[in-house]
Amino acid sequence: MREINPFYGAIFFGTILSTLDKMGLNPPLISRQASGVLSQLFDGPAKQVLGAKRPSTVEELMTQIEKLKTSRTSEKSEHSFSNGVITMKFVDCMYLPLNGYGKSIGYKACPMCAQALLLSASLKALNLGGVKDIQLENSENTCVLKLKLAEK
Amino acid sequence: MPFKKLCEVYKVMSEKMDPLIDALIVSTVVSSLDKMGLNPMLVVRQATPVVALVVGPVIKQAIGQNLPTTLEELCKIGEEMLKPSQTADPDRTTLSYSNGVITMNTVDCAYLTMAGLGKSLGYPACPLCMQGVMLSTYIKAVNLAEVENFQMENKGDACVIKVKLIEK
Repeated sequence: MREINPFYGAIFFGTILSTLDKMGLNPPLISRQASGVLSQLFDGPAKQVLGAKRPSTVEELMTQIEKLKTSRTSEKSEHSFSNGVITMKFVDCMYLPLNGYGKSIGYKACPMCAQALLLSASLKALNLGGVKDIQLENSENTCVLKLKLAEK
Repeated sequence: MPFKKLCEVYKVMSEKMDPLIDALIVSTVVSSLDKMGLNPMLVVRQATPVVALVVGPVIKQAIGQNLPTTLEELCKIGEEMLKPSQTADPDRTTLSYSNGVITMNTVDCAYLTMAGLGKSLGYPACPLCMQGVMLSTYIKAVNLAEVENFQMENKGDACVIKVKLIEK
């Protein structure tokens, strides 16, 4: 299969999100809607991949996610969870061109963080909690993502 | 950034892009918007002029002085212009115009994973066709017509995109 041009994806996806933002649909609102749809898609594969060992705590989920997807979406990732906040650090995320484009149109990083969306969907699929707030910071090829979870 | 350096960066980044994860993100975002009442064509219509502002000058620079003056010319130049982008098989990407409709045929598109996922979500192909958006942006940039809508069909590794135009 042909390789996706990350710059095309960044320009189109970034522009669509920025246009919707101007129409009143901000990225966290879209993200909240999309993570529900994504979590339904995750449900089947998650059961298949994890079998009976479905994570029952956020810590277990983070360990599983690092094992499953680090090599697919970023070069390195670290995580921590305390006081209801998941902090994840990514190096060389595959969406870095989207981050650069996001900055050029006034966002702090990606208009919508794909890593945050994947994580929110996983939390929802496993019924481990809802995401209350997402903060994202980027410095060159490193991103720090903070997800504040809503108490169950 | 020099062009050669940009190509190297692009190559490294492309190898990192996971088409399945990309398809999951874009498809679910577009499908969620659809459920919220914003269908993909509405999103495309809003986004195309903004993309054209960003990409338009690059397209005009690439075409040079010979901007197309008819929709037939637009197809001929478009076909050549899409070849280096390598988002589909360059030798089997064709563009033709007839009766207010541009028909684009692509084979082995880079977004085929999205087409598969789109079908599983109830769409005939990708929820939002990247090739269709690119073509709409090009049409907008050269200012020969307005895009009324586009329809996509996918069969195996081949896609047919029909862009209905409002001529100026």
